[in-house]
Amino acid sequence: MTISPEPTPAIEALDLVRTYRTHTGVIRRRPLNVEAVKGVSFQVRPGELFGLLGPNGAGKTTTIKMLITLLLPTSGTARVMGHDVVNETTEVRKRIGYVFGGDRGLYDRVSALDNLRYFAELYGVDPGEQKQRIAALLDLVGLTGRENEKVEGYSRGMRQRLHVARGLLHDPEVVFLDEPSIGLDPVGARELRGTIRDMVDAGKTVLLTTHYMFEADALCDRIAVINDGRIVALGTGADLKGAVANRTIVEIETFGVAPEAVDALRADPEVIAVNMEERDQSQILLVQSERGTHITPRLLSRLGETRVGKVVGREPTLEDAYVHLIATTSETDGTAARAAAVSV
Amino acid sequence: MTAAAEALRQPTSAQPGSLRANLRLFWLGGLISYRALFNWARPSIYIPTLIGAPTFQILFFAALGSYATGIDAEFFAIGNAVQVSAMSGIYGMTMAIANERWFGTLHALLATPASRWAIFGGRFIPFIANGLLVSVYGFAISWIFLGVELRAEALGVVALGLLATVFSCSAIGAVQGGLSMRLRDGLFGANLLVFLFLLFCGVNIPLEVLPGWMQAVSQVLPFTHGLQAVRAAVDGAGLDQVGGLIAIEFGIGAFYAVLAFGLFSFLERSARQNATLDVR
Amino acid sequence: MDGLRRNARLVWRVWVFTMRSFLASEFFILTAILQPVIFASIAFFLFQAGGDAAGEHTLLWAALGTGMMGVWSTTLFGCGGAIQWHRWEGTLELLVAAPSRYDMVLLGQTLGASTFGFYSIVATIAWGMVLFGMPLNADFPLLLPVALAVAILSLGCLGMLLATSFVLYRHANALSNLLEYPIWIVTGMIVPLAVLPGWLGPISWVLSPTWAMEAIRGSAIGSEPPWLAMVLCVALAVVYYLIARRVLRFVLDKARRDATLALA
Repeated sequence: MTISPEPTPAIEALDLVRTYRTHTGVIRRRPLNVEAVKGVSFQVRPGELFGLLGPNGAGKTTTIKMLITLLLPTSGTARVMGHDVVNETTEVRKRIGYVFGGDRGLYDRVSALDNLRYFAELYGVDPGEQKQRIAALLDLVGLTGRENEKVEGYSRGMRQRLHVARGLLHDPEVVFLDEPSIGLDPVGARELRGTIRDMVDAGKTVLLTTHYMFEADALCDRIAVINDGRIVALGTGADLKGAVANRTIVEIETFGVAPEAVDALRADPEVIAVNMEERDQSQILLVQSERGTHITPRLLSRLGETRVGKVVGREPTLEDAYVHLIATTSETDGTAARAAAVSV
Repeated sequence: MTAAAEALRQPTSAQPGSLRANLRLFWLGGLISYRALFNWARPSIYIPTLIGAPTFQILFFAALGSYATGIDAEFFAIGNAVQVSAMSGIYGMTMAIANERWFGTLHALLATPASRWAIFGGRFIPFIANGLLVSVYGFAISWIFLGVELRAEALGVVALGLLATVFSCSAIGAVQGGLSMRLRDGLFGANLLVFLFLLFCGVNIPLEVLPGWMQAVSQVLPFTHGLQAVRAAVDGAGLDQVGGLIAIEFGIGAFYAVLAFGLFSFLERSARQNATLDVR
Repeated sequence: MDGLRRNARLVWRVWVFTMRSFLASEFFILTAILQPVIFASIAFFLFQAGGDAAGEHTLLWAALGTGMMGVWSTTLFGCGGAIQWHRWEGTLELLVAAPSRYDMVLLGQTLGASTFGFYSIVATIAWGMVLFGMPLNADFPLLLPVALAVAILSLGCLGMLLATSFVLYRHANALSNLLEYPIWIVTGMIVPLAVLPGWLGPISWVLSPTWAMEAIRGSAIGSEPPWLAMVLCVALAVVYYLIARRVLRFVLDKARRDATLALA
């Protein structure tokens, strides 16, 4: 029986590191090394929808910029469709589309059509096909009929759609989306997710960065959680949930809980972790423990005099896994606990 | 599979870097960039700035120059009719490059495989055309208000001299555009350049009157040689006599153009090294 | 009386604030110092080349003229976009809704611009003395500060008129570009009106920079004290202020009616 060879990864990152040199202070400028990405490795299969999930400042944008050749890695290597991002920039650029979110990035003073025409020339799209291709993409993103308006009059949602159309002009094999749903209303965000799924259905590989956990969960085949410049978890949504699957979450609403009381909770032998969410007048303590332990009465007694409101016991969600991951890997002293990376 | 996915499955052929693609990017892309990035592309701004102001500039220096020195107004009229093209070349090219930063489009641009020569080279053409137009208009004003006459036989040589001058002025504008990617206020440098061209290069002050060091500086700036050629051509000199000056002017323009491209390459490399693209 | 004092303080505060913000602006350093100095150099070279074409006070004439040109540029660019700038910054609504009188705020701004412009005269004179060996003397030195004061006042009020008129035109900066050279010509700042076409005369008389230049020049190199010029400066200042106030009221009412106070 022949064993089919592993397909070449569409995206391959190996120990990517990126350090910035900046300065602190105004009068006495001291050089400062900021490590934005501290050794990121992962592989994306062709046709996969891969998510890079992490809080702001985690290193997502820096990582994506290295992969799309806009930034040189300080060390490490990366390949896109088999081409090295440092030495074979033209080959990489031919095969990738780059979509980013936000208000800027389009030529406001001309029409959407002109924007697309210009980028069609930049990508060298065959002149005979340009008109059809542009029309088809405008239709795909729902901008048909509005393409002759100047972009300066476009809403945020329309701009994002135009960004997507621009990224697909030359039919790239790999599409990179950097926080595309920033500032979009829920309807716009849902439409965008539909478009992203269409891309994958059409056989493209997609790498998406986001800080919206539910977006990553809803869309991605696999998710890499990145925090503080490192990947702290890698796997499908189910795998990540699996890390917390055999746990119970007890949500305790408190009013003005003292730090000593929270420490007292943590000290309990059957408590795995306590994360706290601040609300206006109250705090929600999320207590993780092994499933099946009826520890609620013990928790309440450990809280002592603290005023307590609602108490709910529930199943863990991906959000709990994510919050826990970020909380435990945000220590910057290098001894951060790392959740077991689940390889596929 | 949705209809959309079906549509996305239709492959598109794209050949960036081919000669055809580069030529299209150069001409068509250049034109689109002009409309997208030139702050004055609208008539409501274009007319006061590139037609109104130059008119009065020519009249002002014609009056001042002839009053102060006794030299015929024609000298100053021609000098300024040529110099007004500086506004298009220098401000225009500065805007064509620095405004990418303003719109945040630089990332998207540099993530494409397009030839950088084609991208930025193409931006010259509309501004050269614009500069020629403004100069021609300047000559018209000089003729209407100051009686400066251009003989039909001289037109060809004058046009060639103008083309060389406008080209080299746009080239130095491109250098200014590159510098303004890093410096905070690009238009400051552009403004300064345009004023300096009024002082140097024999535009208003005959070169012989300037101190030695200023004459030397003028020799390496745009305008000086092209303007001399144009002045001589208006007086009846033929291509055989001023061809050398025109060639030097083209050469100076080529020098600044190469300098500009070198600067852009350096800036792009440096941006990949140090992420300076993100600094607004 | 109390209202007058309050208004005077408001104008003064805005005046000082405006001057300080110009000091921090590269554009205004360019307009008020670098540009006049370059034009002064051009004028110096031209007058020197021409020998005695303009008379014995040639260089001082050139310095004062190009300095005044700088004053005009600064006033023009500083005032032309004043209201538009407020709109852009989103502060126009706040200013109009505030209890202080907006026309006083505007006056303070425009006076600040014209005052700052006087750095130009300092710059061109210093330049001329240091680099071109220009001798400095004034025939009526005691009148100079008075001349400067009425010049600032009359130019500031003209600036206010510009500001209120320009706000109706979306691209005020383009109009400002357009008005630089013509005013330099028509007000005889460096080319005396005597050598220009006669029909320009009446136009120049209603423009305060003409009289401001006369006042300053007269104090420095005139044969008799420029009383008439100074009186006309003040008279025109009052006229400009009154017209500007009328126009401002009209413009703001229109903006409030059309809901365009906040639009950029």
